[in-house]
Amino acid sequence: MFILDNLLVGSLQFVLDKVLAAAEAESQDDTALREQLLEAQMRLELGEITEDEFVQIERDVLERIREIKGNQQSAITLMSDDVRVTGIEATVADELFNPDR
Amino acid sequence: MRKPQASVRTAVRRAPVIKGGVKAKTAARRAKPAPAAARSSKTKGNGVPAGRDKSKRPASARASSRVASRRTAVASAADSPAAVLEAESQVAGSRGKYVYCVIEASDQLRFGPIGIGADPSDVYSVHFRNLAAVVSDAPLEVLDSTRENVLAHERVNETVMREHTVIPMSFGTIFKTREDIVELLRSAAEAFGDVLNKMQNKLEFGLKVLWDRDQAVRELENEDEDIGRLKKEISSQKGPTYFARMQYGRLVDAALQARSERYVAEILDELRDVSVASRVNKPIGDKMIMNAAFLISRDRETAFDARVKSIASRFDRLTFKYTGPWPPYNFVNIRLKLERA
Repeated sequence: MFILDNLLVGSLQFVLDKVLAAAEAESQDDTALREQLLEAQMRLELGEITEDEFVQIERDVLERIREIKGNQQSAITLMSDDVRVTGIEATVADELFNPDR
Repeated sequence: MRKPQASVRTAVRRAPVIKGGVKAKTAARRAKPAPAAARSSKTKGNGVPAGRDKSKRPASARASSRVASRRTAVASAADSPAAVLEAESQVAGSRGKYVYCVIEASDQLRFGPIGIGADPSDVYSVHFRNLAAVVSDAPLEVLDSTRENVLAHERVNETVMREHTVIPMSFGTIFKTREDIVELLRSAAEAFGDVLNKMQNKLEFGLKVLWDRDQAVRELENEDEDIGRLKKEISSQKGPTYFARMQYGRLVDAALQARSERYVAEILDELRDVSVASRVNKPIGDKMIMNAAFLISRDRETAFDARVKSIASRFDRLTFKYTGPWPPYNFVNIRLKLERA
């Protein structure tokens, strides 16, 4: 149960500069929809909705996510003459450390 | 249609401790993915997708000999902000690399045809020095976050976790090429190494606590004098009860909030000395009062287990959903700052 939680957390993020941020902001916009999916899954687990009802909700929500994100999968590329990695910041548990690179 | 019910149930690797009327589920092992041995030759594990999307892949090494393609890349970067997260609209059917996690490993690894997608492809490693990304080839098209896909992601991480300390990627992380992944490992090598070191022998467990809100309200009506009095007033009064109702509602909301906060504080407090760290996430839906993740040392796993069970039997009016072990999704955060050169 609740495996979809991992849609909302992740260990790797790409922080883009201002020009690039617009593209990212757009692709991040589906958090609320993902939460709806989580809630539907929880209600299914608790027996509040049926499998069929869940499948219907899942289909609708995924459809809306697709509308937001567009029909293309975003692929990350670092191998570009125009984009370079300028810093890495890694946080573990409550500890913060910066390799400062 | 898919049959996600069964797969979701198998996601709970540890039998959840359940109290308060929700039926217990056994921790069934997840079904093995259908072996697709015949298909494994379709994608060469270590190869760059040959001859595809070259114009969109301006690797600097390649660029000098391919002036035309380089110019295309520069132009597209200038025209659109999507230079980094690039949509592959023009190249139908091209393939990227889906990344599941990063581990420490110097030798090429293969995990079999358990990759994400309808047609599970081979899962293998891409290396930079002693770091490796665990990947499979995946089409550059929309990857829906269906339970089936998320489970496939988890299944790979679970397999890798048996032998390695992993830094999990979030669901849906796709790189364009093998070179992009090597570049990721290279540029973040120090951070990855440090994180892997700190995550050694650590496991994540999830603990969600739900309550029956109506039952909690009834308890309050019995235990809280003011609330009980207002409740009686409302049910016995013949005239308008508008103000009594409003006051009742306000008191109940505040008392429920205080009570759930107290529960959460008590539970977290009891688990503190058996865990390395905890993180409290936003509850899902209105029944959940706690949605937390715990980072546990392998050698404290039994102690943590026992503590969760003892808490669950003490708070017998709450429902506990206990899952894991997971890779440390909630405890590792790596941010790469990207800029235009």
